[in-house]
Amino acid sequence: MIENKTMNRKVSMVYLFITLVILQSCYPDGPEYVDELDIVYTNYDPSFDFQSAKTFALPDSVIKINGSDFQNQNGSNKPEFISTEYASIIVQAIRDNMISYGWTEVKKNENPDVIILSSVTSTTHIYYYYDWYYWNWWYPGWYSGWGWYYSGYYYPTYRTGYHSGTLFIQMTDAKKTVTDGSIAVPWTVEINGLLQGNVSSINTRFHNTIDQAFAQSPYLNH
Amino acid sequence: MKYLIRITLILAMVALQNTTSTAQQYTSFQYTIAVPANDLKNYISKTSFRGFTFEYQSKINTHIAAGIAIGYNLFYERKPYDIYYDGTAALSGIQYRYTNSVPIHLSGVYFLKENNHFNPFAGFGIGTTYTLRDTDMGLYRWEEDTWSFSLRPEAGFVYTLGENAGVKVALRYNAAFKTSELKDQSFFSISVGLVFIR
Repeated sequence: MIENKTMNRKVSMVYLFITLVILQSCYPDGPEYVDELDIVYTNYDPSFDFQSAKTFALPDSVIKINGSDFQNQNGSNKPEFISTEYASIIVQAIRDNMISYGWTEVKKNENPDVIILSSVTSTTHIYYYYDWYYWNWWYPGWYSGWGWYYSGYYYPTYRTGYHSGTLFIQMTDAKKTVTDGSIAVPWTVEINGLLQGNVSSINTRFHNTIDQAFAQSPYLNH
Repeated sequence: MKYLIRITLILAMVALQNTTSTAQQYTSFQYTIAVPANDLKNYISKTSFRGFTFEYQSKINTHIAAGIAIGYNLFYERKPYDIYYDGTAALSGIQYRYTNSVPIHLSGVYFLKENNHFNPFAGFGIGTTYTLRDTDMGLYRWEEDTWSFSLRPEAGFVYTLGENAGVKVALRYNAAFKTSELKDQSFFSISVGLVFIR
């Protein structure tokens, strides 16, 4: 009888062990490819009249954000930039989408209705409230003391992540720029994904995700 | 909801203490397939093939046995690329949804026959179900969890294969009621397993 009980206990333990191994081995894997981790977030100020705004300006450069505070490198007052290869893909994709939505591109000193600023960060933290001074070198009429103002919607929450890359696109209101000393930002985009893959796959992912940002923002369409 | 676990554990201890050493005891491990219902179904519609149930019961008399049951089920579904809206915000991507469910019940069963190889039963469980819901999107995870008050009616049979072992099959409805964190996380299940009889 005692042997029988011991045997039963052993059988039970083996059975439990096998069950746990089977369950562990068939835990779902989740994403398999890098692009499956790409997400596109957009938000807008519903009080901004996108239909009345017709013209836009955008710099050819995409800045690289290394921290929420601007570090003046070599006294140039300019931030770091991402390579022109990637910048041209990003800028061209934004330009193509804006034009296909019926907007007209103008130079920054030709009184644009909106200005589109693109930045990239590859740190584990995403700096939504990065220093306004990053754009001091380019933004028309910019002066010390400005910041960002996200009217009518909650500005994106501060989150931490893995070693990921985030492309942050801000559309600023170039006509009514100052509200309490800040630049109004009626439209924002954040594209987040893993910093992996070759140039051609990253190109494709930039194209697809920027197109998606516009596709899910039909209020921009004229 | 933590008090529910405490009550369940206390009741389980009382139930187990009340059983005499001569009473027949059933220990059972079962493979469990679960079909989501209610809000759980809205979140994940796919059947879970990843689950198990552990039961320990002691016979109080020839027809009634009581004890405790603990289970685990993992529900999973990959939602294709889609846009999710929240006010003026839109977020698009692929979602990977996981619901981990751990039902813990004090259970009682009524056997319809006496000392028969094929013994159908009907039973009822009361206790709690712990639910951990993870929504993965991109590199981010949204996590919610809750302890729900839970009831678990069941019906099935035990087929004995000798003096010390048998096979158990049970159909159950695991009701996990709404809490302030999550809506109703109930599911149906079918369990098949071995019973060790002492």
